[in-house]
Order: sequence, then structure tokens, then C-alpha cells
Amino acid sequence: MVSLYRDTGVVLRVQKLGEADRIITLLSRQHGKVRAAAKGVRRTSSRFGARLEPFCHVDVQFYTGRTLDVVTQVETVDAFGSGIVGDYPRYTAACAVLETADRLSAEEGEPALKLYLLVVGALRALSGRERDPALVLDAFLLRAMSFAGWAPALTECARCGTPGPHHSFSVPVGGAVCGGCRPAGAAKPTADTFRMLDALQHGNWPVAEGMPNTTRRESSGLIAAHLQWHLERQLRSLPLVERNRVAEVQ
Amino acid sequence: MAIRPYRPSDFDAVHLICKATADAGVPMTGLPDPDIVGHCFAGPYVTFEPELASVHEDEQGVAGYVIAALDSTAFEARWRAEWSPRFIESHPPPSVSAEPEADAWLRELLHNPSSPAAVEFPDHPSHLHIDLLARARGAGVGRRLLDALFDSLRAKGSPGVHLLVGQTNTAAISFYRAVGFTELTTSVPGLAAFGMRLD
Repeated sequence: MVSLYRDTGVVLRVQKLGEADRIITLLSRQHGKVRAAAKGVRRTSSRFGARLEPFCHVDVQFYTGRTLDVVTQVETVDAFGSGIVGDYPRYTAACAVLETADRLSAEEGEPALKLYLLVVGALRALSGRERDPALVLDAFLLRAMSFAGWAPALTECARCGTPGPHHSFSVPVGGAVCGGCRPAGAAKPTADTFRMLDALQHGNWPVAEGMPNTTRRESSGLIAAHLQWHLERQLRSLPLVERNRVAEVQ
Repeated sequence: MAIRPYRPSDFDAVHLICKATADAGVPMTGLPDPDIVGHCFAGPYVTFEPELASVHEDEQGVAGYVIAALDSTAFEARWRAEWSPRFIESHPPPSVSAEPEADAWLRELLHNPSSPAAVEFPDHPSHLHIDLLARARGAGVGRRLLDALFDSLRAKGSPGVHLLVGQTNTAAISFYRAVGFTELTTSVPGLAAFGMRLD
């Protein structure tokens, strides 16, 4: 075990620890999610407190501790926060990016390079202010779900695989569904909404940015519903999985 | 058939070999611009530290090289200051375009060349890359290229050199062990680190 290590990461979350310290949660390039103590960062004299705020992309050195690793040095790589915090729509979109990344990277120390690249790319786009923040968020969420293995089917039927285009979308089934597989209660998005989702998934910005607000709202709603359904299912099933494992060991 | 010091006219040949061997001896696939591999793993070395580079040349041309950085931390700082800005327009840092993961990773690396070396290998501050085309492998060329590099690094006062290699690249790992490298401990998942003391 190395006593000192280094990585580049995005600060996802900060929590207070004791009187002057913080626990920092980072999504890092090489080590996945890392939680570490940053000592003294809530004092005005702190050398690196301001660099360890949410949205910061930082190069960090850690000392391996007994329970929590300890931050010993921080350099700023990209100060994404300055382009985000003064603009409410960008700020809320960026918060959703960080929260989703935190939820999807459940295991500390498990490499998550693809998710790290998606988060850095989304924050860079939000900070750069060139694109609609709602579209950046939706593109990020679609690709993050792909990282998690839950990408919605958009062109073929999620149940039987029949090539589309299809006209119905079912979150529990996993995306687009054909007329034969369509369950009761499936949504009936417009053809433009399916094109919009495909454009966001594949980075086709001219198509995505050319869509009217009604299509944008419908595609955002489907993406949010798909993500929420999977995150809630994940949380409900997790305790059962852990109990089963213990039972097997005994 | 000879090992000789790198010359500026070798730049394109080194770039080509770098691209041809990038993924454990074979080219990386799926990159929109395969040249980015050379911009990350060859260009900065022969540009900033050409005196540490050597090539192997046979009757068909340059078939292998070794390149290195004397002080990995200083090299990384120079890369950020002088190398990354050249690629802001042609290979910008990744955003929300749908580039393949490997391309996004290389573009992030091109603009942010962070390595664990500074803190994990303080006794081995130099680092190297060695790549041979298939026709030059298995004939002692790699060993001779490394010997040339070790002499150059010793002459410049380096106490040790390290390298990083994928844990699944067993052919390369066997070669490094056979040459006398010892395995170092790295925190980076999926990679193995090897070091050679030069004092």
C-alpha cells in the first residue's frame, strides 16, 4: 500500500467534519470515488480551502490514513465554478450532474474513468456557456445511464429488439417499445422526441438545438423518469443484496 | 542496423511507431484522429528532451525508439505550459460532444498530463517510453535502446527511472523484468510500475 498518492478529480460534495475540517468527495480519473479529510479548510488561513468546493477540477495529493485518507496538497486544474455559480440554470444543472455522478459511483476506489470524463465534459460545457444548460444536463444523464448500464433503447424495441422507429416509450421496459410489446401506460412521445433523445445520446448538437421547447420538455421528462426509476430501484434492492451476501457467508 | 541518437528528422517516424504500438503493441482503434496518440506519448518527449531519445534503424528505416523525461514533475509542468496550448483548437479538452471514451481520455491527458510519479516514485524521478515495431522485437534491440538511455540519464545525474505499463501487457512486463527492472508499488488500478536505480 502506498502512503502517498495523487490524482485529478472533480469535487462532488463537501461535508463538515469537526470544527475546522471537511470531508471531500471527489470523482477521480484513476481511483474512482475518493472520500478524504481536508484538515483546517474552514479556517480563513487555509492554504487550499477555496480550491476544494463543488465543481472544482483539482490535482490532489493524499496521504493514506487509517480510516479516511487526508488531503495534503491541492492545485486547481479547471475552476469550473466561476462559470457556473452566478447563473441559476447552469448552477442547478451542474448540481444535478454532481449528484447523479455521486449516486452512480457507489463504490469508493472502483475506477470510473468514463463517468469522470462525462462529468468533466458536462461541467466544462456548463461553465463555457456555449450551450443550453438543460440540453447539456440531458446529454450527460443519458450517457451516465449508459455508464451504469441502463441506457434507454431509442431505435430498437427494448423488449423484442425489433428495429424502429417506434412510437411508444416505457420506462420499466427500458425505452422505446414496438406496438406488440407496448405495456399499458407507456408514453407516446412524438417522433421528434425520439430524434431528440438520439441526438443527445450521440452528440448531434445541430439537431438537438434545433428542436422546439415542447420536444425538449418531453425528452427531458423521459430522461428524468428513466433515471429516477433506476436510481430508486437501485436503492430499494441494495439492502436485500447485502443481506443475501451475509447469509451466504454464514 | 544500429542504435543511434534521435535526430529532428526522425520526428514523423517516431510518431508513426507510437501510433502503431499504442495499445500493448498494436494501434488503438476508434480514434477520430489517431495522431493524438503521438501528441500525448511521443511529441512532448522528442520536442523537450531530444537528447534523451534514441532510435533503432534497420534497412527499412526507423523501427523502434526510447524516449524519456529526466524530471517527471518538471516535464509535466513544461507540457502544461508549452505543449497543451498548441492543441487548444485542434484537440480541445473534452466537452459534451460524443467522442469515444479513448479520445476523450487522450484529450483530457493532452491538456492535463497528471502522473502519480511525483509522489509515488520519489527515488525514480525520470520516466521512459520504449516502443518497437514487430520486426524489431526479440533481437536484443530493446535492451540496447535502454542501455543507451540509462547512460544518458546517468550522465545527467538521474538517480532512477520508472515506467508504467498495463497489468495485462504480459509480454512487456516479462521484458522489463528480464532487463532488470524491479516492480514498484503504485496506487493506480490496472497499471504496473517498474523502476531501475541508476546510481
